[in-house]
Amino acid sequence: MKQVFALLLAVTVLLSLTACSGQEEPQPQAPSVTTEAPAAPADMSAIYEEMEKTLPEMIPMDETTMLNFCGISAEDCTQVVAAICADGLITDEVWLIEAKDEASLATLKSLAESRLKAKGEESITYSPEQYAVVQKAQIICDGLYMALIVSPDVDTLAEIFNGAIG
Amino acid sequence: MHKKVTAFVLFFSVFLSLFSGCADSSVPDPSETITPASSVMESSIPETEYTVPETTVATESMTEPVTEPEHEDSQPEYAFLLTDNTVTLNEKGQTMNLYCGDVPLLDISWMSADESIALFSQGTVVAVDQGVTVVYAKYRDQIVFCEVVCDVDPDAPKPYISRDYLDAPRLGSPYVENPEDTTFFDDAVFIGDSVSYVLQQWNLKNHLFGDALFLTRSSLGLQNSIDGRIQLNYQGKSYSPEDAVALVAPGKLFVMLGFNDLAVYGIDGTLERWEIFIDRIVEKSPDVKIYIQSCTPMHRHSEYGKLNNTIIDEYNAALKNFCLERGYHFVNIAPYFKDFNNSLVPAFCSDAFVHITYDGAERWVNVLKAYGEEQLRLETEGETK
Repeated sequence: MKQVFALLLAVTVLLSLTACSGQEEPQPQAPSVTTEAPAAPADMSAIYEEMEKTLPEMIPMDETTMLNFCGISAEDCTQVVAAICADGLITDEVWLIEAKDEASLATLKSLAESRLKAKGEESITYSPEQYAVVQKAQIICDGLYMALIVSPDVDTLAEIFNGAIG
Repeated sequence: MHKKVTAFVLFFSVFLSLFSGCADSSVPDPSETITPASSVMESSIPETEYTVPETTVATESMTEPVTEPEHEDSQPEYAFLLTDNTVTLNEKGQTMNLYCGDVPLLDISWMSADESIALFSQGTVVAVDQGVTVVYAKYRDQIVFCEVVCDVDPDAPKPYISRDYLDAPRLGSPYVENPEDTTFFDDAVFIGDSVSYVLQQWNLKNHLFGDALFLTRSSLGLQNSIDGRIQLNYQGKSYSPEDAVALVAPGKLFVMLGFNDLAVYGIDGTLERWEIFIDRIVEKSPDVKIYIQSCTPMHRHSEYGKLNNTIIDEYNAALKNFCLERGYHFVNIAPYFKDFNNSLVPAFCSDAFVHITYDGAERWVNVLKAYGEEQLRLETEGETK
């Protein structure tokens, strides 16, 4: 009896050692779930505030002015900041937009191109200097974000925009 | 210590009393109003026989000055006075300050009945040559005057007159009773070239014209509008002026054009193009009221060839006749931008050429608003008649 008991005990110990030894068989991995927070949308107002340090005196456009001057409809935009130089003879102009969708983005990009064309036609007749600024203007599109930047400091301002939208 | 303080207070009181009194001056009939769109200015001057040159003042009528204020119990809150009723200057170029009051100098119009005898600006009279004339200062509906006797050596050399004096605005800003009221302009569209830009920008900043829409383009002219080389941009699309006006359907259309046509086509050629330009607009928008603004002057240093202030004056006179003949409103803003050289006031000029500063824009707004108030007043009187 004692021998049986001892044998049973030994088997039990052996079994327990086996359960803990050796490599575990690889188990299928569940898909990893990221725990990072989603990227915050870029704030056009904050970007413009940063750009203002480089721009001359500008006049921000309200919704009506944006529509009448530039054709920008608030219905196409999730966010929009647009400003024109206070000195009407200086061509500096900035549009910072988050479009609502791809179709809106396409419309806004077309408006930006038309706007640049009109500014070029005007400036070529009265100021070669301003015409050169318009020629170097940039229209930047990234996802649903778009910027139109007309400025002698277009590269600096473009960097601010690109940095802010990641 | 107490005695010293008392003595100082007494001394200061005496000092103030010596400088507080100014000679009283006459005030005119307060019923006089500013009418920039009225016909040729005439003036009659009591007790002398001088006629104010037309180039001196805007198209305003000047009534005889009245020595007594009309309403004793409603004296204005400001002092608007000259130091004397008559002064004598003994040397060419001699100056004398005649103004003692608290109305800002730039708000006052300064006039001389004969600028070949004496000039008058910013409160200071300058003797030019031998003779007797009358100088005036005008603010709102008040005019004060002073007789100036230039008892000078007629053979003395022509006097030097400083640039500060000559470059000063000849006319003050017209009085606007309700500057916040935008009623007259809420249904207006403004069409213009780059000179009108500043008015557009000023309105963007300050919203002084209510719901007025500005359609301005640099280099815009009558000819390049007619042949389609330059179009107006509205809501992202390009339109001819007549199509833009038809689309917007304003009640009033203010236009200032012609500067970009004058040098090429002359006055007659420019007026021919005005006819085509306006006819096209009226054909598509028969109910719109047309207001044509005179061309502002140019800086004296930028005059050249056929583009100079004399030509601009002649053009504006012809444009006025054009408007009268066809029943359009003529808004004569030009005189409010002139200095004593008959040029654009340098302080109103942003580029020593033709473009206007924000100070000039402010002046422009006041002129248009005063005009609007006058038009509303006339309309109201017409309704009650």
